[in-house]
Amino acid sequence: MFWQQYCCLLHINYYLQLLDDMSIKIRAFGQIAEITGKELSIEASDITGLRIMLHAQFPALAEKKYAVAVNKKLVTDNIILNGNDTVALMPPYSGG
Amino acid sequence: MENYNARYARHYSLKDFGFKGQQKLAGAKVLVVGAGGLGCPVLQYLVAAGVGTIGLADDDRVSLSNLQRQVLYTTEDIGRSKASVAAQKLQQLNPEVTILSYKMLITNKNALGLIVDYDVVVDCTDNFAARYLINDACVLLHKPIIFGAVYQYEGQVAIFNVAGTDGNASNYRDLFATPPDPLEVADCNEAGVLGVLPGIIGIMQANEVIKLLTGIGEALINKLLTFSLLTYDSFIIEIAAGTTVDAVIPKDDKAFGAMDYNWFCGAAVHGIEDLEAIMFFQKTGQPDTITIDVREADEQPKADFANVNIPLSVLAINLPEIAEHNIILFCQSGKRSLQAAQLLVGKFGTSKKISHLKGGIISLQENTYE
Repeated sequence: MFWQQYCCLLHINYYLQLLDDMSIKIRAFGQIAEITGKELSIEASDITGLRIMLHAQFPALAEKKYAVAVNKKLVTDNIILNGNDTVALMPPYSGG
Repeated sequence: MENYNARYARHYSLKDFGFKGQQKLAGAKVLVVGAGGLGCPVLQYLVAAGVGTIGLADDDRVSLSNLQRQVLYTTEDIGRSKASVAAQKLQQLNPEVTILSYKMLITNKNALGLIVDYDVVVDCTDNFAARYLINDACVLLHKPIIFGAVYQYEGQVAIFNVAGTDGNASNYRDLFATPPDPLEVADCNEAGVLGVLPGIIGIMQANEVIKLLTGIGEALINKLLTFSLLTYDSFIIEIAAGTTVDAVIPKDDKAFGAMDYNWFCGAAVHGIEDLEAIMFFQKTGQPDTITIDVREADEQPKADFANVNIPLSVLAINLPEIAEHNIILFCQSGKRSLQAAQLLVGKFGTSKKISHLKGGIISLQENTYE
């Protein structure tokens, strides 16, 4: 009986975590990668949350411009992120 | 085969390309803006491939530091106009293509008239002002752009203004609606670039031109490819055409002509005078004038004229009192000096005459070779 309850609680916890912040895999490019490193994970449930977390961890990002792609698709609006999503941070390059 | 030309024999025998593919190239008119690191390979491969008419626009001259990556030019060409040297060498490579050389900077006054005659524009420029200008002009004229850009060891390639299967055509502003702050993104002058990178990215652009013109393979329509030289990783994202960008692009020829792209991209600021090398040497050292190096103390090359070193990082925190009326600022490439000039204009307004060395100390060095 106790064991069943414990398992049930684990399940609830697991789903609560899914609903709440999830660990999102991030790939950064160019000058953004110089600040964050090429790959990292951030807990976030949507793009706005992700930006807030990123900028808190890396204040130098605040003054950088970068495009955001979720699962290799450019996004401009705030969208919900799921556990297996990969977010790419892509700065503009000007060199030629 | 009618009009058989042994020059293109390897194209004729190529499956899915053949004589028809070659005819499509021969009938095309392609404009390459910028004959530098990206432009050299783009031009060489498109001319070799037999694109019928190729326009090339560049107002720059060959300098010693170009030769590490701009492979159309040789040491003897230093000081000569890139547009004329490139046109001459390309014509030797393939006398059968028409090469139109424009020794000029592309501006909001000449861009529409230049681009309208071409089927495709290849953006091989090296600054945001030119990139936004070319983007907006091509949006207005519905012309495809083959975009290429490099940063240190990475490059980006994309095709803009071509409708995908869903009927949407994205452009550069869908990716970056407005340009970054000028200090934010370093160019090749500041950040450096491995010579082979623009070679590879330029050849990718040439490849995209050929794919688009002949219909082979999957061109990067509504896609941005990022390529790493260090790992060979390719990362392709899809770009959906946005609706918000329409608001930021000039609506017609008149609005385009009124747009100041240098100012928009922070490359020029009203109230600050840009000094070319000659003017800089005339003005520095004059009475009631202070010349300030805003680079960090350990940066090379050192200036061989009198100056005071106040790094931008210091200026940004604590603007000093300056007694002199004329303030001349310089840095490595002209970006930080412009930023410093903006800070000083904010403090002194029009009470001081503030100018900066356009192109930075690098431009002084390169002038000495010409």
